[in-house]
Amino acid sequence: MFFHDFLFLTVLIFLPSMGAVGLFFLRFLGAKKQFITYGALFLSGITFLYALVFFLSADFSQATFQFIEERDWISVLNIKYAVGVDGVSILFILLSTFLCFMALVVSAKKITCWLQEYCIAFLVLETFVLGSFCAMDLFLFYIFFEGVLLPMFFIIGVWGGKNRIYATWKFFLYTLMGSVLMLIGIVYLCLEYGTSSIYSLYDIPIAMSVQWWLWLAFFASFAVKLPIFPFHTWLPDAHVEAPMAGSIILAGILLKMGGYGFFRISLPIFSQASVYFSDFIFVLSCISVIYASMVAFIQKDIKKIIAYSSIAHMGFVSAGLFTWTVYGMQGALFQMISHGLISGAIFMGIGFLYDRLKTREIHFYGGVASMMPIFSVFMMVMILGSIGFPGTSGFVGEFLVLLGSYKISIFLSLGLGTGVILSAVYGLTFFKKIFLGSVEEGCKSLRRLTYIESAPLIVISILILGLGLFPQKILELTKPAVERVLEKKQEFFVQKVIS
Amino acid sequence: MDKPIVIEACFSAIAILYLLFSFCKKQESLVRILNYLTIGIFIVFGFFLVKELFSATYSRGTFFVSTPLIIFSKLLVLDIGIIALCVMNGAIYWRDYIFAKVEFLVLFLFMITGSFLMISAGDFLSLYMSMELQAISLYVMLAFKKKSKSSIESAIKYFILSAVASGIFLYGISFIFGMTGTTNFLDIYEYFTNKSSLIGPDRVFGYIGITFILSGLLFKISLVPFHMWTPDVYEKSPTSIVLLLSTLSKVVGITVIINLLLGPFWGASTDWKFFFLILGLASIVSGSLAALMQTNIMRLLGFSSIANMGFVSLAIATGNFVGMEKAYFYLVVYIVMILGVFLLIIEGRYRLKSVGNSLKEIKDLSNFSKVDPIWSFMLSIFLFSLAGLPPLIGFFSKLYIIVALVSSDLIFYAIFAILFSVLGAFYYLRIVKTMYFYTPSDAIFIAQPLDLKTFLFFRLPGTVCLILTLFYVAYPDILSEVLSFVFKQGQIR
Repeated sequence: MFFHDFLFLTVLIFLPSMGAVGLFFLRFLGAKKQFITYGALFLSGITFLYALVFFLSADFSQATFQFIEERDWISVLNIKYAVGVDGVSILFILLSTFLCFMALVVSAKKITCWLQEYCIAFLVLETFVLGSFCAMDLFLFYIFFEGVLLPMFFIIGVWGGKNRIYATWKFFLYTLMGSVLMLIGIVYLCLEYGTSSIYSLYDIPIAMSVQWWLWLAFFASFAVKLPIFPFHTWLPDAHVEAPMAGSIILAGILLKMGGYGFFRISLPIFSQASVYFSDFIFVLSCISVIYASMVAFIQKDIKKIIAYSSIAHMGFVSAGLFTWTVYGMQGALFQMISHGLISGAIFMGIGFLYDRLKTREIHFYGGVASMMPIFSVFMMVMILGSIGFPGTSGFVGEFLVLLGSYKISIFLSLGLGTGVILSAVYGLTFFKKIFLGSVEEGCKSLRRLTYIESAPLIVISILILGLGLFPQKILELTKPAVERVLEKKQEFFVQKVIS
Repeated sequence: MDKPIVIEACFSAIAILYLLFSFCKKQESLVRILNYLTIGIFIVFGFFLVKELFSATYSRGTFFVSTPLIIFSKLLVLDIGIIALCVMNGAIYWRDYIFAKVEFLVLFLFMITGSFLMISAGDFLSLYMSMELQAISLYVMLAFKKKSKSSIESAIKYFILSAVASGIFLYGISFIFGMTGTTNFLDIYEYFTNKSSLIGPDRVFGYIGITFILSGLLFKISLVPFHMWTPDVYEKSPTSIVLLLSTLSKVVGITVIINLLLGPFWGASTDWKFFFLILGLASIVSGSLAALMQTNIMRLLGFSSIANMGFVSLAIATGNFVGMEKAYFYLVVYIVMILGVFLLIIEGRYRLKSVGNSLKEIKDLSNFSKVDPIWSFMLSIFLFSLAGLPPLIGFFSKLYIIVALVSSDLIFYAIFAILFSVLGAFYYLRIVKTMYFYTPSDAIFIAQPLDLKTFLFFRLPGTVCLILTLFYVAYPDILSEVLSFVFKQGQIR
């Protein structure tokens, strides 16, 4: 194939950060603000196009990893720099490059201080995110996974809202605490089994007594990132205080890294322990879904409502992944993609409202629909997607997860189903309070959307509806990877029967 | 260079030669010239040492020996020495004339000589003598700002405690001597590896002796029960000297400890393993917890050095070659990062002197990102690295400590240590927070611009450290390969 000799993925991963280094030096030499902003936009746009061309020209119908690049990296521990993609990774790569580009487009004009640094931080963040979706080695994965904290620390802390310092600490310390435990797990795996390559570990049987501990170590990290119920408290704070683009990235991409980690590492490598712990995950997921939905209903801060709805939707993801059925797992993956688009767009919309009214309190809003009709239509599509209305992408994901969960236990699907109903309750209330009813005093002078603001919303709305009506393309992409994970579990049960 | 102490002899000769110049009237320009000369001499000797390191023939005398580890540590000491000379030059450039005296340079050279001798000692007597040579020079240098009361106070504090520590050290030697009848490392090594002799009263005597000797050395690297001097001295002494205390002293101390543990005390490893494990944990806990509440930058760095030495001690506690190698890796990385921090802080102090900001408290740094963006960026990268965030070099040092602990079945210690390193992230990043997260309404200082000389003396070495910190991730094998060469079994003893 044409791409084989070309370091395709390495270029993809490091394109934004190399660009950021270039911009840093340009800034140092005194380049104009405008130039650096457009440079950053250009770089992230190019990265998205690059990923898109890659996606369209490659064939992902096989279950194997493709475009693998391997070279020695830390030879003392036999750690390799290994990257590769399969049908699942490429989806997340597309999602991240797309959302990073969109976030920069809508926010670059609105940052007043430290604009160049903002662009640089974003590009560095994009590199880390792309790297963690491509990494085929646990150490590499860890470095990218954890490196995200560095730019995020600044994005929330420097450009965030009033209470940003508290939110930054909480986000930083929670995530760090979770992932250092994963680091110990990785070191143990690497020392005990001689390799840290993800696809080599797929074929290595690990004793249950060891798996148990390792699964918990990895769970600590992914559960904080996803987040699952008792570890979720950093998320509302971080989402609320982050700047608009920070929230888009946080909800759209960073949360998916937790789910991706479960799917890529915990499920296939520790399949025995994952089966053992799946009931535990189901209980936590149900609590996540119901509790977060109820909390979302009573929030007064509009960003917090969406933050809690993210927790609820991520509950579907964790439940779906651990059902060990094709439907459930595919639904979970689909839900991650669709939630990335939907919540990203909703945070974008909230950001537009905030720019106009400078408040996030819900009772200052009302009747926005009569002032900003087109915007309201877009937001209606997003909210409907968020509550899983048939015809939107949210429906496909939640429906598949419910289908998968029904095979496990009726109570699980009852719990999750309650969540669906509750999501309609808070989602529609949210829409009604802000967009419908009599026009509040402050909302009378709302400006309409500019072209730059409406363009991302149009694209995302089309995507949400398109994915809702034609989900087959994504399901085809994820199917081989899901089946491989299921085979892995099957092997374990066969072994158990024989022994 | 076939004898192990030729370089040291040269250093003392040069120091005595310099002493002749102390009668000259115009000291500033003279000291400046001598400083440049010394840097040149250091670089020349550095080349000799590199040549010796790869020559594969190492000389061994009775009192002083030479092994790859010893040569590597000498190189490290020389590097720190060059940076310290740069700092002194910078201080003279900023009209801080306490360093503009030939005596100071002479003392500095004697301290380097003492460190070299200490590292290469092959006998307890020579070790003790060179330790005192190093320590006496250090006492005088700490008290060099003789008009400042607090500086004198901290120097006296360090002097008294250090004197007690070396007394204990000497007492420990007497125990070992009484037990084995010799002070030579090789003979003691053979005595201890002969396990059958370690029973009954011999074992008790040996244990007491080892503990006392190690206590004297642990004082130098400020491990927990011997750490009381650290925050006070860090806060009150001239920062340029604290730079030496926090880097050079630690290199020397840890090299000597590793030499002792892999040499004479190797046979008694079951006895000292536990010692280092407990002290390491105690250091990490008390260093991190105490650092949380500090408002003074130097005190914070003092407590953080205690916590960092705790990590080194944990890796030493594994009691095997791999663990020692990782401990040394951690040490080298720590020195790279802390040198960067110190260089930046000293530079900032000089450049802010005219606006009356002495950069002592963390809050003096508030909104500093507006004052000098590059400075703040560099400092925050060093602090992120000290906190152990992944793509930076500090992550690799923590990683190797975990590797050493996990491969020696000390997983729970690893978990404990790594959770406390999260606490470390909190106090290091408080400084970053102060620099970046404050509102624009905070006062902004106008720092003096960065001119060429300041750039050369402070920023350039700092930039070298920064490049190592940032881009080590691209080639993570270099340092560990050098160290695994240095720590090759059999070359050590």
